[in-house]
Amino acid sequence: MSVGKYYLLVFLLSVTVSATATEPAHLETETTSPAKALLSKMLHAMATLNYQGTVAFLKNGKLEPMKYFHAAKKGAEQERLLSLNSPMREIIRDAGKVSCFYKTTEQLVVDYRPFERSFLLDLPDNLNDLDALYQIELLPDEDVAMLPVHVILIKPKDTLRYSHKIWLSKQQLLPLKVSVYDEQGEVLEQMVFTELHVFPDLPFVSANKPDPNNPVQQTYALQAQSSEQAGFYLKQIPKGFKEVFFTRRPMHNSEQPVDHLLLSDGLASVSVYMEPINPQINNARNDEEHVDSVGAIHFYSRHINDYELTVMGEVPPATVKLIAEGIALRAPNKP
Amino acid sequence: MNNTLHQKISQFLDNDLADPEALELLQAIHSDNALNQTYQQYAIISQVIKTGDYIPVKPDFAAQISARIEQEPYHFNPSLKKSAPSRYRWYAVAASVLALSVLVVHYDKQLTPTSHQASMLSMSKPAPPLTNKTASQLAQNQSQKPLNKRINDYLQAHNNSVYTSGETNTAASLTSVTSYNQK
Repeated sequence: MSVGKYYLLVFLLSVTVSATATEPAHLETETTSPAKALLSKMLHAMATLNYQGTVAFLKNGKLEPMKYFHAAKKGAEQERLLSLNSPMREIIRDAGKVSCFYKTTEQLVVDYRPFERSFLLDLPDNLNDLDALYQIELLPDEDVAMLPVHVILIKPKDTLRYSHKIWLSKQQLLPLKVSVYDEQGEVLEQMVFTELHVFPDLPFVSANKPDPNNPVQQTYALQAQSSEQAGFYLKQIPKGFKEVFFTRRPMHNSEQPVDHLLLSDGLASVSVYMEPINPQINNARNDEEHVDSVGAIHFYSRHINDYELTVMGEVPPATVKLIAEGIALRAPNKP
Repeated sequence: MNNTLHQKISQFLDNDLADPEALELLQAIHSDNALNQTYQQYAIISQVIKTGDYIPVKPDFAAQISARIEQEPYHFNPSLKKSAPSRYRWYAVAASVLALSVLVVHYDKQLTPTSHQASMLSMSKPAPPLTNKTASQLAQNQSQKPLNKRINDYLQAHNNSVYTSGETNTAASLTSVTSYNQK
């Protein structure tokens, strides 16, 4: 680490500790490598500690500083984010339900996401699931804010996914910084705490806004269904990706249903969407082979007969295209 | 009040602050040491997160550079050897321009706040990925493409990154990976 970076990190992260994380002894035997053991402890700390701080998200070239709160009690968790910049909003995750309240418009968006657990970092419970796809390495320790941190690199074994690097404090075992890198080693996304405090207790906040004049305006209900009901099937799928859930639901403020299949390799997720071509809202560029991106998320669209197919995920362009080209329409009577 | 100013600093560093407000902010930074400190901190955070690099700049950095320039001898014969400009030199130029623009605005109140201020702001603002004009053109072009409504809905359904990205509309954020070819 350069002297400049050292001073910067000291400057950035004035982490104060009000409580000490207890080491989860039962997790010691579940993993084989020191790096995975540390990640297991980190997941335990993330789920069981009460902590709050200021976190900055860098996505799509835009810096988004937010206040972060995590409350845990008797196995229940709640995450809360408060934006510091416009659009001002408060986001609360209670188990699988995410509520986002926009202060300016007083709009409340309720989103059901049973397959996600954290705004900071989502890792599988069983880290051994990543063994076939990623190499998990413990890098030399670094000092952050004069506190020693472990540095763990999760590096893919192929070119179909991205690398992740996690800096977690030795004392609290909480992730202070997470970076996602592309194939060239360029940072695609980053999350970094500029301050973090651990408390014995933090309150759970009600996500309900009991205002009869401003009821919930948007709700993204998510009812898991069998992927056999999808209008498409996957002829080929990159190694390690598995179906997480499938749902068919209306989108685009219309009654038009859209098939949505979520895939995951344990770390990276990819969504497959299919809907009938609608000139009002569909505009896939079939004339050229285009993969577009929003930050680390790439997406690729193509037409299959009268349907528009889009594959989207935080994976390299080759991966979304590979998945998209391995999709075929399911015959109406095909089981 | 402080929170408002801090928010404006953040917007300024993201190039999201309108020019008149940016000018007021620069004046406030110049006259308020505490605010100046805050600005420096935010700038460092922004720089590191965006680039991963940090080069510490002393508060009197611009003054030192100006003093050194004053001491430089004059050369009337142009040098044939062109050395690549170092990053420090660019930081020096940027810092000097910033300091100069603030000083000029502070002392030269007789000037009308039109093209003069606009030109100063364009010099002192951090380099944006796109100019305002380009961004608006892009947004206009994107609004003509219904693709974005669909993609926005897909992004919303895909994962929770929409909540932490601060993008109410990702239309202006779409980047094309030009003619990607797997082969």
